[in-house]
Amino acid sequence: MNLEHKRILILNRGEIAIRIAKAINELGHVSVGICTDNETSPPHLQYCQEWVHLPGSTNLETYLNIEKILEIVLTYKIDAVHPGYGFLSENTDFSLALKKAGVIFIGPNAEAIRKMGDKAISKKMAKEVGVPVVPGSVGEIKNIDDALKLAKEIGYPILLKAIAGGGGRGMRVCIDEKEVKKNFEVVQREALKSFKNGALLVEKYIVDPHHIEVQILADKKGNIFHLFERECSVQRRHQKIIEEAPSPFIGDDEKLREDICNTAVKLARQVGYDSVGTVEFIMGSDRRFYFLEMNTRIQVEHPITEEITACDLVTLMIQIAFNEEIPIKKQSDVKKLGHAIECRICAEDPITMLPAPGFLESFQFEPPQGSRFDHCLVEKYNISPDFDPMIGKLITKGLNRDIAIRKMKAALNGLVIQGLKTNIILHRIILEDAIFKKGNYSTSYLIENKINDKIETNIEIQDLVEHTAVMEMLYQEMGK
Amino acid sequence: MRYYFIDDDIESKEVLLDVSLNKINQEGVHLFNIKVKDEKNINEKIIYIKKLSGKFFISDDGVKWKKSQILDVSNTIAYKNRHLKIFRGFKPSGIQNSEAGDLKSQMPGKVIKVLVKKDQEIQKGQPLAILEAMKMENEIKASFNGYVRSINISEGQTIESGFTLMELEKKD
Amino acid sequence: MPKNLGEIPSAEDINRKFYFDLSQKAELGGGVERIEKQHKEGKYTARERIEKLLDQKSFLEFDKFVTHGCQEFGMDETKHLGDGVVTGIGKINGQQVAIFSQDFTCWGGALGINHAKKICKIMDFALNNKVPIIGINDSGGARIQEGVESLAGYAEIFYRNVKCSGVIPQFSLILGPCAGGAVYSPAMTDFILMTEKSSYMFITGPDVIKTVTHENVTKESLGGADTHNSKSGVAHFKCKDEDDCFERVRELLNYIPSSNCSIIENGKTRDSVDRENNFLKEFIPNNSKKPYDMKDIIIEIIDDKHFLEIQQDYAKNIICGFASIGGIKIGIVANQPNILAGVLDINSSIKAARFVRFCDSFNIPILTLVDVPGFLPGVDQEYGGIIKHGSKLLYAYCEATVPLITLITRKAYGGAYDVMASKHIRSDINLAYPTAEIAVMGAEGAVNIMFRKQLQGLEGPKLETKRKELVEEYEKKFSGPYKAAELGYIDEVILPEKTRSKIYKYLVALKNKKVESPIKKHGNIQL
Repeated sequence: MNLEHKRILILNRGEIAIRIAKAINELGHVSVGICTDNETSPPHLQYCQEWVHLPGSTNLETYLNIEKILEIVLTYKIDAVHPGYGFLSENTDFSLALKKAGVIFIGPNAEAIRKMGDKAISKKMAKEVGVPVVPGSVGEIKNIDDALKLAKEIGYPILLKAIAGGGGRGMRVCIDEKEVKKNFEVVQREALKSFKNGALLVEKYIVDPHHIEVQILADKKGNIFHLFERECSVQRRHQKIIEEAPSPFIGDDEKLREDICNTAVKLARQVGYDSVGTVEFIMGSDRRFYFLEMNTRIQVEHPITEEITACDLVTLMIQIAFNEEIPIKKQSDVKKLGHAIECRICAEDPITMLPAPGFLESFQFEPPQGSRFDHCLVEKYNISPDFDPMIGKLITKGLNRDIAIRKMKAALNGLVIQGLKTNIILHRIILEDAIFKKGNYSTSYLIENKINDKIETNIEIQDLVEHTAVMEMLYQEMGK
Repeated sequence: MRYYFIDDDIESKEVLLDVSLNKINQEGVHLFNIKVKDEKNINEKIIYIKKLSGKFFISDDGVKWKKSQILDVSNTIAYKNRHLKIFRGFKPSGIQNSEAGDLKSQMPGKVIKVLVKKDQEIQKGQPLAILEAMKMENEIKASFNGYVRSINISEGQTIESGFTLMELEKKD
Repeated sequence: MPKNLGEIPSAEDINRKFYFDLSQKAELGGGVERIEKQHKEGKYTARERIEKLLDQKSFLEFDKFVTHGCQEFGMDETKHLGDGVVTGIGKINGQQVAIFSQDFTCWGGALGINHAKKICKIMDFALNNKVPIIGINDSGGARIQEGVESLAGYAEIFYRNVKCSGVIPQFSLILGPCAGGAVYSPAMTDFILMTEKSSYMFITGPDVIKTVTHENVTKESLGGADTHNSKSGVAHFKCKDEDDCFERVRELLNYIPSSNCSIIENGKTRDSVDRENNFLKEFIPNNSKKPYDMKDIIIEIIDDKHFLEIQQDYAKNIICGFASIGGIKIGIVANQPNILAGVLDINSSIKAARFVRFCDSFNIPILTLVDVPGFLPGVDQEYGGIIKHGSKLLYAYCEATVPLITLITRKAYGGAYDVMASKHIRSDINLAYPTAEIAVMGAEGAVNIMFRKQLQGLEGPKLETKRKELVEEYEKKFSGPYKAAELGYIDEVILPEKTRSKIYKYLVALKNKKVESPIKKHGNIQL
């Protein structure tokens, strides 16, 4: 097989498009990026060798438009498509369509996507290989009455979830019948809008849960490995804010670690997985874990796994897709060292956490040693409300967790973003918080401890005084 | 030089800073006197500032310095959870777009269309009639919320300057 | 300073204490009670106003200890230090200004000869040093006790107002009463700012009017801010309160140079001069009968949407104001098609004429936006002297030697085309949009006159079709700027989205314009 110069289309935008472009360029292939009508000169194109215009100004017209994308793929002689995360990364139809067109889909095979993309099927498969699952519906719940019946059986609180969902969207917690009645159609609509699939299922909602996920790496020759776990329990409205690798809750319990990682591999093997993916579990305070779902794509928080294992997941993903030799031949080739933390930097109000798009004036990052800022920021740029408010990921690693935390605090202090409201001050508060420091926090940590309300919102006169003095100096300079 | 910081969401939240340069010493350290006025009180502050390697360093006492994170001049800043507009020198007057028309015709013309009925409730800015005058179709708009009490015109009617087109009653 | 009780204070100490005591007394003006009364009425004291307006610690006071010399009517019993007015110089945003602020707490701010002399001194200073003069008026009028000396005092001020007119900018802030002869001084200044609650200006007050003409009227409706901003057109700004008034002054000083000998510095803006005005692409309605708001065009092309409008409630069919483009400060005159179809009439002609002459005096380039169907017809206008007043604007443009840029957005008919800074009266750059209609008159009217014979014989639908045909033919030939462009009366037909960048480039090119006028004492503008 010709290993040189494959033309790879990056079917995504923002920081992940830049990440993928870097990987493609590193491997010597040709990176082809996309721009749309509502983002005519996006920052990720700076890293691409070629670019294609995809006409349209809504996601349906552009990044989700399978027909148009196939046209582009054939017109521009694309050899492979990397879908990133979100958009069409877990769309079976798209994966099949590419295969039919003779184009490589950089991800797992379509069957794996289909099976794991359907929450009902994935749960069934998990049960088949003895993977513990969260009690809930076996298949799609077609109507409110069925939902109410099952909810009564498994006991409240329950979760109404979109079968094709992910990223925290398309789900609602219901503590009683009234809420089920209120939310059923809402979740259906959300699911349809975000994932083109309105089917729902019902699941038991575990209280004080820890969100722990295992990184899977599999090649096309049937070898399946794990790259240890991550903990993503700092969340709000099911949106992850801070992720850590390895999980501080599991801590030194190597047996539990082995147990959960091997369980993930078992499931991946059962579904015939052959790319990069993540198996998500929910772990209660009793340390019992249950399978939640499998994400058959590269995830936002992949960098922290990369940091503790020294593996470049995106390049590995591409190499696997082209059936090339990868440096991992057996599980013991994967070694873990140290601890890594990721803080998602979002253009949002730090208290309400609602998106706050706007004009990015300027930014500066003065990183401590051992930190990394994966972003898609460009000065004097309008952050559009059409897309996700996440504008970057701040990642630090250290020999142990305390060091990683210390470096993250320094990294946050060294990151200045002007013109946009961001959640940087929220991260600072969490990093200083005693509960976070201890390392035992559940997904209700933020809400229960009212972390967002701890943010000081008063206008400090001293800040304005400093700002004014600097501005006056700058204006004087401009005048000369 | 005056600087105004105004909260984008709460216009009344405003901080006024009056900056005057006190002196510059031989090392290029500028000393500013700043009078700060916010809704509660007035403070006088002093601040030392110097430029080194392209970055600004600030201090309260000229002894302990810290680096400023401000990179650029701008019209707004995102401060914690709010946006503050910054004005330099003066606070600009708001723009008031014109409200076309007046209920007493100011020029001779022809009534093209009457858009409301007697006793109809009207909102400020709602068009009440269209008058053609000086070869222009002018929309006569209501300047307050209220009710139409009487209509003195009919479509096609020619009217002179000063004619009262309608009588309106203001809603309290 | 701590004093050892056993010691005899030195001469030095006594002198210093006397100085401080006297200063304090002067600063209290008419006394604490009167100051409280002033505050209760929502007014600041004379000194507070100066403090709020000027940059901190920049005020240098003149004549703090001046008092009157009047002996009549028991006046020698009360002497206020400063004689009821605070005068001096200071800075506003770093710009040097001269200022006087009448003190209502001293005999209601009444003017006597020494009070007037203080003001005259500061006006002389302003004139000699070429700085703007700001007058804060808050006075009940002449000091009757000083008799004709008060009148002399006023006259000295009036004389200087005229001496300074066109040399240094003069601002009058009416922050209290200003009645009788006193109003003549602000009347002759460049800008009058009034506040909604406490300013009044009139020659004869309600009481006298009641006795003579038996008309009942309140102070507010006779000469308040609303009246002078909307009805009489005497004032230029109606401010919410005194603080707002001071902001307006600061804003004005941003656009106006210190004197006719200096050019105002360019401002710094981050609004790019290459910014395309895509909003204007489809903005002007195709149907030329449909009005639009000219202010939308102004806001779109200027920097940062900052437009300082003058007299915004008076003669609304013409818009006058200050703005900047690419940092270059300009005056803008524009017809407003939304109001009275944008015609020129007596009030709008006078309003614009004064503004044009002000900009010309102080070397401020003028941008004129034209959409005018003609002059307002009517008996009132004719009797009112539209002939005389309408031509004031024409005179002002012809006289002006500052850079003039004209942009015809839509209509420019008849005499009004000539008046609105046309090429022939020496406007430097004349631009037009493709939607411009430049003609002696509109198609309908023209056809009715020119083809009267042809149309006479016809009736009914045949008449209508023939008329329509002729109108279309006329429109094809004359509607649009191309006929005028052929003759070089329009320098360039521009696309609306390029407006801002084009105007900026022209302003830069016209920076060094210099035109001489024939030497004369002054023209005889038809007043």
